[in-house]
Order: sequence, then C-alpha cells, then structure tokens
Amino acid sequence: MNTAPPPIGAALPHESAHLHVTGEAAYTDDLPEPAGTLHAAPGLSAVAHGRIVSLDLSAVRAAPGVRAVIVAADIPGHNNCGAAVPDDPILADGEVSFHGQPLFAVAADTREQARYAARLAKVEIEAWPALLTVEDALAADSHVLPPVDISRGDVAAALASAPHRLAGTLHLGGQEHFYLEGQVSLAIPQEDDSLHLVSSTQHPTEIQHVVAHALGWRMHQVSCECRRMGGGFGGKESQAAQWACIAAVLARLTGKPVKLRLDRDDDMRATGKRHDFRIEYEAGFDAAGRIAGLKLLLASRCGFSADLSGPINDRAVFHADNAYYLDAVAIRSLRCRTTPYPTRPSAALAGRRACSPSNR
Amino acid sequence: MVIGEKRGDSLQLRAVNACLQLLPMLDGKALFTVEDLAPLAPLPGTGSLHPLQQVLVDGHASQCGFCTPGFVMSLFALYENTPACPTRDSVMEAISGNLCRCTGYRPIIDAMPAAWALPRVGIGRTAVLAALDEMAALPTLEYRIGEQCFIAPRSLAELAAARQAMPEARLVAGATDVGLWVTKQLRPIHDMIGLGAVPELKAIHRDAGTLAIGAGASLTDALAALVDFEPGWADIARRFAAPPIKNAGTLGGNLANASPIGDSMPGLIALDARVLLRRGERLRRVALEDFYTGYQQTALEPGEFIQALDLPPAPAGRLFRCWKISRRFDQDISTVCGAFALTLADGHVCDARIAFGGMAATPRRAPITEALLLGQPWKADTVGDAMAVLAEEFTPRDDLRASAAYRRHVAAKLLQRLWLEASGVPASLSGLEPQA
Ligand SMILES: Cc1cc2nc3c(=O)[nH]c(=O)nc-3n(C[C@H](O)[C@H](O)[C@H](O)COP(=O)(O)OP(=O)(O)OC[C@H]3O[C@@H](n4cnc5c(N)ncnc54)[C@H](O)[C@@H]3O)c2cc1C
Repeated sequence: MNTAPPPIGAALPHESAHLHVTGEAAYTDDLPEPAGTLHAAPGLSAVAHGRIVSLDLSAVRAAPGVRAVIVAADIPGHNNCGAAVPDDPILADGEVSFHGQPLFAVAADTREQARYAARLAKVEIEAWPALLTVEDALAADSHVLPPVDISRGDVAAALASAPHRLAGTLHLGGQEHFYLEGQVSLAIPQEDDSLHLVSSTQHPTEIQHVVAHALGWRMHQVSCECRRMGGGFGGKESQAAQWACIAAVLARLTGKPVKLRLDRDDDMRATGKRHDFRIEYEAGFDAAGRIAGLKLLLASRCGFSADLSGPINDRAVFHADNAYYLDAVAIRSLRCRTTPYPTRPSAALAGRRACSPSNR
Repeated sequence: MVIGEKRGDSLQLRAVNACLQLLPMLDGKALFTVEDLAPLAPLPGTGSLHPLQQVLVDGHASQCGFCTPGFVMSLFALYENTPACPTRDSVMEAISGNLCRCTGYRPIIDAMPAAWALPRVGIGRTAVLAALDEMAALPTLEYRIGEQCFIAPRSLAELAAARQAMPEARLVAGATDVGLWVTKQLRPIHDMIGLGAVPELKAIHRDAGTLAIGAGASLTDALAALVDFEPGWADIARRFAAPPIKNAGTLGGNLANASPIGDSMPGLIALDARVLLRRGERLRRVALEDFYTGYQQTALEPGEFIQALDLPPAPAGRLFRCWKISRRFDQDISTVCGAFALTLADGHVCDARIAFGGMAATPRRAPITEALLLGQPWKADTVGDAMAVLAEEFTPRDDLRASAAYRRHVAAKLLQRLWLEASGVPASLSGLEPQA
C-alpha cells in the first residue's frame, strides 16, 4: 500500500516542465506533418464594413504551388463558426463586417506559397460607415444581443434619499489575448468521410461540433485533439474554430491534410480582442460610506457578432456588486455591435472588470 | 538560439533570434539550440538537465511553455559568458528580448542565482574552437538555390570587388531588418552579399581620442564602444532593441537602413560622426547628417557600401546625452529619440549639436534651437527659451506611436531633462527606482 502522504500543499513541478525546458514539448506546429500536407492562408479584408462588389481570385489561383482556393460558397455545410450564436461567418459572404475578416482561403504546397498567393487577390469592396466605439454603437442603437436588466429594491428612491451622491463614467480598455503560440489547425482526412483535427484550442468539443456543421457532417465524423497549447487566455476558446473550419473545408475539398498556421500579423488583425467597457455609475451612500443605492450601465464593445458576449456581459453584471450586499441596485447591460473586429472572452472573463465600479 | 564564433583565440557565444537568421549566414559558425543543453551537462540524480533547465523546472518558471526554450537560451548565453553569478539587472537585460505571457518573469529571473548554486557546467570550448578552425579553412561560401545566390566574401577587398560586380545584389549584415522583409513582407530578394565573414568590417579602433567602428560590428560591440567613448550613450545602449537583436544586427545596417527612427543616428549626428563609404578602391567620407537625402534614402551610390563610421575627439567640457522615448521600456521602436551634444566653457554654450529621430522623414538636427543656445549662458532661462523654440522646430507626424503634439512636447522636455541632469537632479524614472 502507498503510505506516502498525499501531495496536497506540496509544490509539484508542472507535469510538462521538463519537456518545456528541453524543447521536447510538442505544440501543434511541431508535430510531424503527414506526407502531402498542404498549407493554408486566409485572404483578409482591408475594409471594416461594406459590400463585396467583386472578388477576383484568378491571380491567387494561378500563383505557384496553389492547390485550392475557397470562398464562402465552397463551404459544403453551414458557413458559421459561432459556437454560441450562429452569426459568425467562416468566410465573408457578400458583406464584410470587420477589418481583417477572412474573405477567402488558399491551400498551397508550402506556407510561403499560400501566404504569397493570398496577397494577390483583387478585391473591390463598397465601404459603408463603420461603428468603431461603444459610443458610436450606443448612438446608432446597435446591439448584438438584447439588453439585460437586473434590479432589486427601489433604486430611484434610494438614490433620492441618500445623503451623498456620486456619478461618473469609466472606460476599461480592450486587450489582445497575445497567446504566444498563434492560431493553428491541422486537418487530416481519414477513412470513410471522416476527419481528424489537431488544433490549438481551449475547446476541442466545440471545434468538433462547429467543424462538423461546416462540413455538413455529423459529429462522429470529426475528432479533435489538442495535446497542449502555447497559451490561449480565452482567445482560443471559440475563435480557434474559424481556422479549424477553413483547414477542414480545404482538406475535404483536396483530400489532403491541410495545416493553417496564421501569420502573427494576420492573427492580430483577424481575431477578436477582449471586450472594452463603458461603465456609467450613479451611487447614493451615507456618511459612513455605506451604499444605499447603485445604478449601473455596463456597455461593452462586442464587435460584429455575439460569440460569447452573452455570458461575458452577464458575468460582468453578476460581479458588479463585488463583495457588497446592495439593497437597492439596478444594472443595465448593453452588448454593443461595432464593426472593427469581433471581441472574444479573455481568461478573466469580465468579472474583474465589473468589480471596478463598485470599488470606486 | 546561441551562436558561437571565434574572436581572437576565444569562443564568443551570443543569443540571437532564430527566425531572423538566413541559413547561409550560419556558415562557419557554431550553433546551439535548446536541444543541445541537456546532453551537455547531465547533473547526477536529476535525469539529464542543464542546471538552468533544472532550476526552471524546480522554480515553476514555465506554464504554457511556448516561450521557455527562448528564455533557456538567453539565460544560457549569459550563464556561459559570465564568470560570476550575474546581477539581477543583467539577467533582466539578457531576457529583455523574450516575452512570457503566462508565468511572469520573477521565477525566470530567479533561475539564474539558483543555477549558480548548483555545480557549474560548461560547454567543451576547445572542441568547438577546433571545429570552427576547420570550417574557416574551407573555401568562401557561395550558396545557390535556383536563380538566387548568397556569397560571403572573406575580406574587405573581396567584398569591394563583389559589390562592384553585383551592384544589384542586396547586402545582408545581421538581417534584423532584411529578415523582416522576407518573413513579413514576403518581398522577393534576389542575390545577396553577406557581410558577416569580413573581419575588417568588424574592427573597432580607438586612438588619439577618435573612435572608428567597422560597419559590420555588431550593435552589441558598437554600442559598448560608444558608451566607452561617451558615457551618455548608456540609455540607448540599454534600450536599443534587446540582446538577441543587438548580437545579430550591425551598426552599418542601422545606418544604411535609414529609418527615421533608427536609434544610433541622432547620437552619432550630434557627435559629428562621418561615414566612410567605399566603392571598389574609391573611399569617400560623408558627414552622417548629410548621408540622409530623404525618407529611407541615402547618399550611397550603386556599388557602394558603408565601410566604417568615425567620430572626432571629444572637445573639453562637452555635455552629451541621448535618450529614447518609447511606449515599452524593452525592445520597442522609438517614438522619439533625442541627442544633445553641448560644449560648455565659462558657463556659456560654445557649441551645440542637437539631433532627433522620429521628428521628421530622416534623422535631423535642430539648427534653430542650436543657434538660439549658441553663446548663451547655460542657465534655466536659456533652457526655457530653447525649449519653447524646440517645441516648434519640427513638424512631426501623428502615427500609432504618438501624436505630433506629443512628439513636439517630449522633444522639448528632453532638453529640460538635459538641464536637470547636468544640474545633478535625477531626471529619469530609472534613476529614481530603488535598485535591487
Ligand atoms: C525585434 C527588433 C527590434 C528592433 N529594435 C530596434 C531599435 O530599438 N532601434 C533601432 O534603431 N532599430 C531596431 N531594429 C532594427 C534593426 O535591428 C537595426 O536597424 C539594425 O541595426 C539593422 O542591422 P542589420 O545588420 O541587421 O541590417 P540588415 O537587415 O542586414 O540590413 C539592413 C539594410 O542595410 C543595408 N546594409 C547593411 N550593411 C550595410 C553596409 N555596410 N553598407 C551598406 N548597406 C548596408 C542592407 O542592404 C539593408 O538594406 C529592431 C529590429 C527588430 C527585428
């Protein structure tokens, strides 16, 4: 029988630490590629918002090494990579909704050839006005999800009778997730219409789900594996799906394994950031500092699609009272639709951010 | 990764960014990657990890692990290069080119003293030197892929001839600029002439108060020589990129790349540096301030290259400072870089050379401010007047790093910093921080 004390409280090394320090820890891009693997690169929109007038991909198709080029119409199943709400196209279809949105994707013999080819597209987009800030979206009454209101007690009365009042506006900035390993997916066709994905993702099940839908397949036809990630921080939860879908569609079309490892610059442009918030607060309190009533407006920049903005903003609402019990509180959460880029959860979700108004 | 080269009789080991090395640049060099460490020095009883690797494991210094090999190699270069346990500051400087997003830097920094507490191990330098000697005896490299060739002349004369014969070829020194054209811009680069194997280009001479730096000297060596020549270079030497870039990049590359925000030029222009240009047998000297003819344009003619840079002796009573303003302390590009060389005699300014980067399309002097200072008593009023003029002297641009207004403001404030520092007031944040 093992009589050693349980390792609770002991500082055990990370299970992979000896592999990290020797360079033996394998990340998706380190795994040996199956023979014949093609490499993919997306073509991104240089316009934030508008209508695609023409997408001339002849030079892309003719570039050296190119094996396949796909646009939205080539996606056999559902052109969506939104896991929570189906409003996130894998490839833009007719309309562009954010700067850096993928319009098409190329598979070529080498990664350099794919990246080079992707720059040869002749794209004409009729630019529409873009909503860039929370304030722009509020003025235009533009939302990705309906408002959420939560309240207890009579806030108006509590504020009116409080000996002291404080009101103001806070801005909390957004943030790039900055996982050091960028987005990467390897899609390997298997027997009998099935596909194995190796993806750097925080949510392999969701990838399996979304990719199956994109291919018009059933879940059991797709498997997804992630041995380890070089960081995710919330940026590889839902948004690893887009790159997995593109690799999978190209793999199905060509019958070859396809790897898509985003260039860092493309990654920064095409992937969502952490939500930024505009917070308006009004508080009533007594001379001892006890809060009698609090009214909050939490307005966040959700980008053009809902993604996980629902749970994130709800979390902001649920954490807004911090460690205080508030007798009279009214919180309104607005999930603003803007068109610069999609926003995504970040590791700390919105809890920490929402605590700030009640700590002020 | 770490590159080993023979300098004199000893082995010089330096960390560089693997992603910015073109393959033929590695010809004739020793190369160490993270895989080489464990077999180097097995510690009894720990499996087979190098002491640095072992303390990183024990100190919980990795989480996702993606950045870890890079940190290991930066630390390894420092470990190999110092005879005693490095200070915390030098560890921080050594890892300033590496980014960690999960763990934080504290356990990584702590690894160095912890490794020093373990038995010291080292690479077998004699064997490496012997292998380098063997490679040095091989003929000059001419590397071809398809239509493209990379040649690496072994002497200044060979270089001058090759450059004249192939005026269209791209000169490649450290590739810390050229590498990005390849990896980021996918710019086609045809034939290349590598400068890394020309020993004369790396020479640094100091005599009779002058300083001459070969164009191929690494930024690490060039900046060390500049600090030694004029201690006012310290801020730039610390804040120019980070060690892996400074180890690969060269002074000549910085000058020739002609970026308006290159960090070496303002200080060098303020110190009245001249570049020595060579085409075939012809040599000419051009004042660095006249070398820049427009945005990323230089006076270099086809077939010509920068051979060296020289600095005249310092006049007595010269006050020199050069500062970099950027959004991030480590490894960032300058928003503004300002250099001041004032010669003071009897409490008066008898010579003034002020130069800025980030304020115009080229590195540029501030002649109006200089004229205002000239002959004036060196006192707060003079400085105040000069600041007002300096704030208006340039018409910089708004860009993602800063607004034009900020740039003008900060340029003037740097003159105030000069005044304060010269008066003995600590005027930079790093001077105020408690030193560990
Ligand atoms: C991460 C990173 C951080 C950086 N940080 C800084 C910074 O803080 N400050 C800063 O100023 N720069 C910075 N740089 C830019 C770069 O490191 C410097 O400009 C460096 O000095 C370039 O030298 P190199 O030897 O690598 O040049 P290369 O890339 O080899 O060449 C650059 C250009 O100079 C030409 N050239 C090179 N040598 C000669 C010669 N002898 N004669 C004629 N032409 C020549 C080449 O043909 C090419 O056009 C940074 C770069 C990176 C990647």
